[in-house]
Amino acid sequence: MFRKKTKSHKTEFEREAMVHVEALYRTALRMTKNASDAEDLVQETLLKAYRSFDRFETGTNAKAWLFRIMTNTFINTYRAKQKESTSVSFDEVDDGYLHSQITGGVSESGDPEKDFFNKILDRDVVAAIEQLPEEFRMVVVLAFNEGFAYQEIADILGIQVGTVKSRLHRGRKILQKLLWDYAHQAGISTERTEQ
Amino acid sequence: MNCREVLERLYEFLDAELNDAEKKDFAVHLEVCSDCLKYFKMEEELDRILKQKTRRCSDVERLKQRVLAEIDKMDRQSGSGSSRNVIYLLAPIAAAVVLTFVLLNLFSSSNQMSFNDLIGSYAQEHKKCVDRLKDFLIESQDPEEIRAALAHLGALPEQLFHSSAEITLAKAGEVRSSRGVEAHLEYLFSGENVSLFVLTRHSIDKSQFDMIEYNGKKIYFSRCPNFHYVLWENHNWQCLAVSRLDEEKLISFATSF
Repeated sequence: MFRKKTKSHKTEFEREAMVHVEALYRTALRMTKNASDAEDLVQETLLKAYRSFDRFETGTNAKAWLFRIMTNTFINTYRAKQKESTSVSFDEVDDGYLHSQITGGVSESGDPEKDFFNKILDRDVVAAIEQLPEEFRMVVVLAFNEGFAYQEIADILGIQVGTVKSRLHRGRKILQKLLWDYAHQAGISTERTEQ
Repeated sequence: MNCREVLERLYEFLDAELNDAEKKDFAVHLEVCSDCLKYFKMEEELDRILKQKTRRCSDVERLKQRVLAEIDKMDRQSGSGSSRNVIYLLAPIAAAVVLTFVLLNLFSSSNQMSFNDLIGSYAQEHKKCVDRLKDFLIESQDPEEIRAALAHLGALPEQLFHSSAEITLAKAGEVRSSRGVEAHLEYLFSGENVSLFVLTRHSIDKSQFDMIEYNGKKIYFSRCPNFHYVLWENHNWQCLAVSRLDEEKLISFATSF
């Protein structure tokens, strides 16, 4: 009556699922915002996947399947622990925000765009993504970190493709504003002439 | 494409979501519009930087080892002793039997008080069973039945469960109540939030349920403090779902079959 987990079962699991640990961890880090929760989340995801591996059809999209389990686990277990830290108002970010900031500024080298891009630090990107409200953060992370297609993201999160599209658009605009603000706070991007 | 469309669909282009014809339209516009081209170049470069920075590798060897060790531990536990497994198997069946018994008696009597009392005690039993079941995959021996059951599982709305991985499946078997009425519990699906009993060769008195017409389907509904119940027909099967979900979700569960 009970299915025995065999040696080959585990070997197959290692081949199909364990190869995605790095991808899962990378995304888990952005979801949970800390390494220890991320490790726990990945472990829980893989144990759940292993328990139901019998029902996974070989040849179908194992990565999307694992990410769906992880996303659901995160939403149900870890999200309660999260604090939304952002107090930034994102309502007023319009589509052309970054473009107008860049073209309206004066910079050291005379190329404000290049100056800005050169000053984007890895940790700024991490901080900006983590500051995104969760609905945007999830789609941005799945698209940026792993390059999932819109349809895959929609399946993983259980939302419409159109919603993926609009959140990704909006999420990117918010990211741009945050990155610009970081660069600006560090006093590197523009030096406007005195008012 | 015009300027507005190009700006709107720019990210779809960068994410390789446009088809060949759309990509061509997009490129044609950039050739003739220098403003859009400039804007596009900026977005493209920023996108490249962001994707490159977020796709950095990290060392997960230790984490992999940790997970594999947990899997070994889990395998050892589930392989130890069949007598223990039998207990786990019996617990949900026992609960199902209790429920069936409760229902069989209940619907033939008119005592509304005892309905809620009995359901309350079932609620506690239900939680214990689901907790135990979560760690075990129980399956029917009959491949036909497994296929049929899995086909239904696949159609369930994901958000009803923590994940499809947590849905466990059992074949329960024949049940006889003290009154000699035979019920046949074909399957028991247990998720975090829903237990589904499929009863055949037996009809439950629906007089204590509220009837709701939903997309041409007749759904019978009842509630108690902690749990909601829906009863509906699927082909020749009579299905009963017990859940802590709210009414709307439970009905969408029922109609997804």
